[in-house]
Amino acid sequence: MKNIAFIMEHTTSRNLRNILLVYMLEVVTIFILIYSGYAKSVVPAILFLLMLFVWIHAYRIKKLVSQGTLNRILLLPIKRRSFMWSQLIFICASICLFLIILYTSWFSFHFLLSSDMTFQEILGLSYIVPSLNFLIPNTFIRFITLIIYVILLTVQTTELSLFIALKDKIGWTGNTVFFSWILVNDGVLTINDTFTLVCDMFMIVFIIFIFRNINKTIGFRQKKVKL
Amino acid sequence: MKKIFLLSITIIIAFVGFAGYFLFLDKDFYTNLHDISGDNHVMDGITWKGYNYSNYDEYQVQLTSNKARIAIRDEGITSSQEDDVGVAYKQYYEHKEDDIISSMIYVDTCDYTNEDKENLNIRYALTFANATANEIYFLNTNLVGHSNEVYTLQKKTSSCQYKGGVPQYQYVEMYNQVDASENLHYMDISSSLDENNNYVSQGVPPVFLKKDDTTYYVMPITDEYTQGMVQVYQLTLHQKESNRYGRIDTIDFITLPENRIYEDMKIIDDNFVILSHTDTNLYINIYEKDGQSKREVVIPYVQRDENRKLRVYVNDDCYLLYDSEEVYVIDMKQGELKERIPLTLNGEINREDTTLYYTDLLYKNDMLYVATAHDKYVETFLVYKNQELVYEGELNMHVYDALITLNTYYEGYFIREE
Repeated sequence: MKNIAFIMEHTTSRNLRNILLVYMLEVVTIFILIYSGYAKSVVPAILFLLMLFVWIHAYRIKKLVSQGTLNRILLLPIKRRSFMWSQLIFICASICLFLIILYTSWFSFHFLLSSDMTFQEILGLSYIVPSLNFLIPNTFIRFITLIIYVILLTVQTTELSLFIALKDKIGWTGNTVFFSWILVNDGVLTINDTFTLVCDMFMIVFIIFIFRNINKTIGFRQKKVKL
Repeated sequence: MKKIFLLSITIIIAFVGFAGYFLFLDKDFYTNLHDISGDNHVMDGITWKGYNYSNYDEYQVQLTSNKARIAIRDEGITSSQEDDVGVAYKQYYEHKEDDIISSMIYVDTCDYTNEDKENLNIRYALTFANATANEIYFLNTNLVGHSNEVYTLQKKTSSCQYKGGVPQYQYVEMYNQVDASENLHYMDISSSLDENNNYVSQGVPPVFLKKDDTTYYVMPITDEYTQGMVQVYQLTLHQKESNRYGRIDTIDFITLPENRIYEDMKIIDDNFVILSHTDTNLYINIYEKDGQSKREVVIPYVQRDENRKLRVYVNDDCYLLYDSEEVYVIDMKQGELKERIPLTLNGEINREDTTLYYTDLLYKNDMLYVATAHDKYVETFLVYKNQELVYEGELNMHVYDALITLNTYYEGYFIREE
C-alpha cells in the first residue's frame, strides 16, 4: 500500500492540472447544454470528454516512459505490480470524480436555470433523458452495472494509455467503444434486467481479459527465480 | 506523501456513495399541472390515472388535484395498484380493439359482376386474442353497406381465396363513386392480403365488446347508406384447446329499431346502452342483460358532420356524449338534455393543424372535465363550467425553452368515485 501511494504521488502530481482542466470543461459543457436546451445530448458530450481523459493519461504515461521514470520505478526494490495498481486507482478515481461532477453540475444547474423545479422533478427528468438513466441507477442491477462499467473504463483507459505510451499493441480496445456506443444509443444497456445482466457478464469477461493483458504484456509479472 | 492516494480512494468511495444514494431515493417523482389559463383549484378532488411508455421504462401517472405523481412501474408499484388501474380500464373502456383484426365486405364468389353488388352483405372477419392468427371467424350481417348511387365496386383479383383449387370468396373494395379520391367516408372499406396471405385491412370495425373470455357482443356501426336490420350479435366461444377456439355460436341477441344510424354501444352495470340517431333525434336505448328493452331516452339532435361520430361516456346519473366538437350532458334520471357544451380551447394547442385525442370525460359538480392528448405528446386537461372553458392545464415538464416531455402519449382515465 505504501508503495502504491509512493508511486502514485510521483507519477501523477505533475498532470493534475490537465485533469482539472477537463473537469472545468465538463462543468462548462453541461452548463451550455442545459442553458441552450440540449440537455438530452449530455451523454454524447461527456463521452467525448472521456476520450480527452484517455488522451491525457496516455500523454502522462508516455512522458513517464520518455523521461525514464518508469525504468527507475521498476528498478526500485518494490513489487512491480504496485505501479499498475497505482495507475489503475488513479485513473479510476479520475473517472469517478468525472461522474460526481456530472451529477452535481447536472442537478445544480437545473436548480439554477429553472427555479420552479423540485429535486424530484429533476430526478424524474434524469430518468427520462436517454442514457442518463443508466448513470443515475434506480435499481440494484443498474447500480452494479454502472460500477462494472466504470471498472471497464478504468482498465481500458489504462491499457490504451500504455499502448500509446509504449507504442506496442497490447490488446483489443474495441470493447469499451462498443459499450460506450450502446450506452449512448438510447440507454439500451438498461433495456431490461436480463439484458443488463448479460452485458454485465460480457463486461466482466472483458475486464479480466484486459487486466491479464496489462499484467502480462508490459512484463510486470514478477518471475520466480529458483535458487 | 500520500495525499493523492488518499484523495483517489476518497473519490472512489464517494462515487460509490453517490451512485448508491440514488438507489435509496424515492423512485416516484412529482410535477405540477402547468396552467395555461384559469385557476387550477377546479381540479381539486379530481384523480386521473394513466400510463406512459418512455425510454424503455414504463411510467404510471396519477394526477390528484393539481399534483401529478409519476412512478416508474418496474419499482415501487405494487400489483394491487396495477389491478386498480386494470379495473378502471375494464369498467370504462370496454372496447377491446386488439381482439378484432378486421371488418370488411366479402363476396361469396370470386367472379362477381356489378349486378352482384346489391346483394353484398357486410361480413366481419373476426379473430380473437387467444386464438391463433389464422383462425378467422366470419360474422354475417343482414346489412347491405352501400347503395348503387353512392358506391362502386372495385374488383381486386389478388385477394381471391382458394380452397382445394376452388375459388371460395373474395374481398372487394368499395369506393365513393362521387369522389373516388376522397376515400374518407367511414364505411369505405378497403382490404388486401400481404405476401403471407395475412389480412391487411383498413376498415371500420363494429363495436366489439367483451363480456368475459368466452362471450362477446358485436354491433355493426352504420351510416346513412346502410340498409337492413341492425342487430346486436352475441358470440359464444367454446374453448377447444389452451390457445385455440373451437365452435363459435352466434345469437341474434337484440334486434334494434330500423331507420336509424347506430354509433356506439357500451355495457354499463350489465345493461346494454346503445346510441343511435336520426336526422332529428338522438336515441339512447338501454337493454337489460337478457336483451329486453328497458328504457329509451330521446333528445332533439341535428348531426352537423357525418364524419364526427358520437361516443358515450358514463358518469353516474349522467351520460356524456361527445362528437369531437360538442359534449351533450344527458341527465338519465330526468331523461333530458341537461347541458350542451361546445369544446373550445384557449391555449397554444388551439391550432388548426393540431389533432386532439379525447381520452376521457368526467362530469362532476356541474363541471365537465376533459382529458385530451394532442400531437405534442402532452396531456391537456380542460374544465368547462356553464358552457365556458374555465381552466386549461398541461401535464408535462417545462424545463427552460426546450421542452422535455415524457415522450409518448399518455393513456389515462379519470377515476370515478365508487
